[in-house]
Amino acid sequence: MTLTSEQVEVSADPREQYERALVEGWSDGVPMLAATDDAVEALLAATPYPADHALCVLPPSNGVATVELIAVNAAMAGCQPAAFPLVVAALEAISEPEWNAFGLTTTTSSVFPMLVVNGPCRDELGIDYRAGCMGGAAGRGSMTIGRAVSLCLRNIGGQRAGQTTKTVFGQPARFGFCIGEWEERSPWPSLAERRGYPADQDVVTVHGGKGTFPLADIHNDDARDLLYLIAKSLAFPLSNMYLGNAHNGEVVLAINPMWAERFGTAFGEIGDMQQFLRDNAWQPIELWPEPNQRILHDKGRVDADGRVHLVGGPDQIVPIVCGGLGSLHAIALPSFGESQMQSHPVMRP
Amino acid sequence: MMDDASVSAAVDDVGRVLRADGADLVLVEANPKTARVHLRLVLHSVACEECLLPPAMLRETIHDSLQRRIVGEFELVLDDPRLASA
Amino acid sequence: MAKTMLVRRPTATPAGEVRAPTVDLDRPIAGVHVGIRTDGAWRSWRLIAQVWDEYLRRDGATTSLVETGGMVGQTGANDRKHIEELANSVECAIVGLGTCGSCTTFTIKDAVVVGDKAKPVVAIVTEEFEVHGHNVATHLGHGDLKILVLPYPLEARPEAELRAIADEFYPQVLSLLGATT
Repeated sequence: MTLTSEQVEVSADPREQYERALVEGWSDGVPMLAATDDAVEALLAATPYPADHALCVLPPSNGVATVELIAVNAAMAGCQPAAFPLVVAALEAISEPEWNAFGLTTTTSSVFPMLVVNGPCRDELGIDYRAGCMGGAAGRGSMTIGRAVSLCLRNIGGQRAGQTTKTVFGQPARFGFCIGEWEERSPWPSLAERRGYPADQDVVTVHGGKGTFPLADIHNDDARDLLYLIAKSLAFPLSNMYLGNAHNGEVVLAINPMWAERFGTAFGEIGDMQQFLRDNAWQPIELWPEPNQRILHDKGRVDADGRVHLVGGPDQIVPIVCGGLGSLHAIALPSFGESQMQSHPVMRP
Repeated sequence: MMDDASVSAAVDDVGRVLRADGADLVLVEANPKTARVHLRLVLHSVACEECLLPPAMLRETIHDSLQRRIVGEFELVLDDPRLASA
Repeated sequence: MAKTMLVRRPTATPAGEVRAPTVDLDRPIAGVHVGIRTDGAWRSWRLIAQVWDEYLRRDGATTSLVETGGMVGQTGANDRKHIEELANSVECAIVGLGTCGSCTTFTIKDAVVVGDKAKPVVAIVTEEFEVHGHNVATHLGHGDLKILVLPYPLEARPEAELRAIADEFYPQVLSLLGATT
């Protein structure tokens, strides 16, 4: 295999490599592995795409992401060959126009791609979907796939906080965020199935999420009561979903398996639960100060009952089941708003 | 993660203690994909119902005992006939 | 001698810098059909654009206004279609407002639609987003795109201040469009 990306001579000492990566601007601040030819070639052998295939163009600098260049970044992240096709699938999803990479890579918002993986590959690749799935479980797949995508956005897309992106705070997911859905503990079809993929297909869904918004309750076991409180929590007044129109963007709701079982008993069809959430995810217009009220009225966001709904439709609240067995918690991944979740199947040779 | 051998051994260990009081534990299913361990408490004689710990306490004891032997989280589903007949 | 090894560089080769030419009106503004793109997110820019719209018509121009509000979905598709229609129908355009990361990106993107039709266009951004605006313009192949920089922050200023800003910067926007006196 002939690689065409530029070769650079670096010290063989890992510590000196780390320093060099920081100086060169390749680094996300954390030590990386060397992108040697054998490491890159092993990754390329795991994808059906040729090395010189231009998979996409990544903003903000519109760098051309060839499969080889993606493999270089994935090698640096420590990605295993079997996991590399998921990195590719994620970037294919990110580059779909409706994901709005153009806006999301430059915004003042903290938004960043958050990957949700469905399919049989989760255990084999170490995609975290149980306890600590959003931090702490340290599955190899979760940590390296997420990081590989992040490095591609940095090194190929040129996304650098304070320079080419105006993100005010960033967020921890900018190191990389990749979780799985605990499909076997979900009373409903998986996220990928609901989006039209067969259950035995590995799929990566990319959500433009602003962070992890923790929700907790220890007082009430009733499914509808809990979901009502969740809906009200999702509709926090400074949500991005109140800044523009109600019909763009989704908010992902990660439900722990114990609550999922409870909710599944109350709502056998997930669409019914989504409708319940949508119907209750609103705030009274009086909650906002007057200047904000005027704008919400101007944008047509206030209904006849003086309610400002978070989202236009139930499909914009997207439940997934994951997390540990300790119950008590859900996590929302609030939306940037002007971005539509995208899924892409994982392609293998 | 749970594997059949670890779970069976763990259940057998706990069952040994119960057998002294005329009860036993049967492993119905241990599913690593759902992280559920499903056990059934078997009571061999009426007398031993009072010998055993109350259901909630017994459940906790069994869970703790299994947790010492099984790596990772799991959900214990315990069919206790005392609850069914209550 | 210290041991070394070869690795592959992870960064993309910078695209060759294409700088699309800019165009000037080279005539007085009277009789010119001017497009103004506002953004539903920013009331401050709506007011400034309204003032400029009045001045342009006072000075003999005709105007068409388009307001955008979305980047994706049906709203986004409609907005991009309206921008394309505006760019086709007008002789020059004023496009704003870039006063956040993504809205600056889309302001520049929409301005480039006009520029790609070889028509004079000025993008309006606020000071904090000036560098970002120039970066986006460069990445889109329009490194010489004319950008007018307004003070930052703009949104929470009282109406009188916004009108004063509109007055102060109106001559500059005409100048950047290449309107002669």
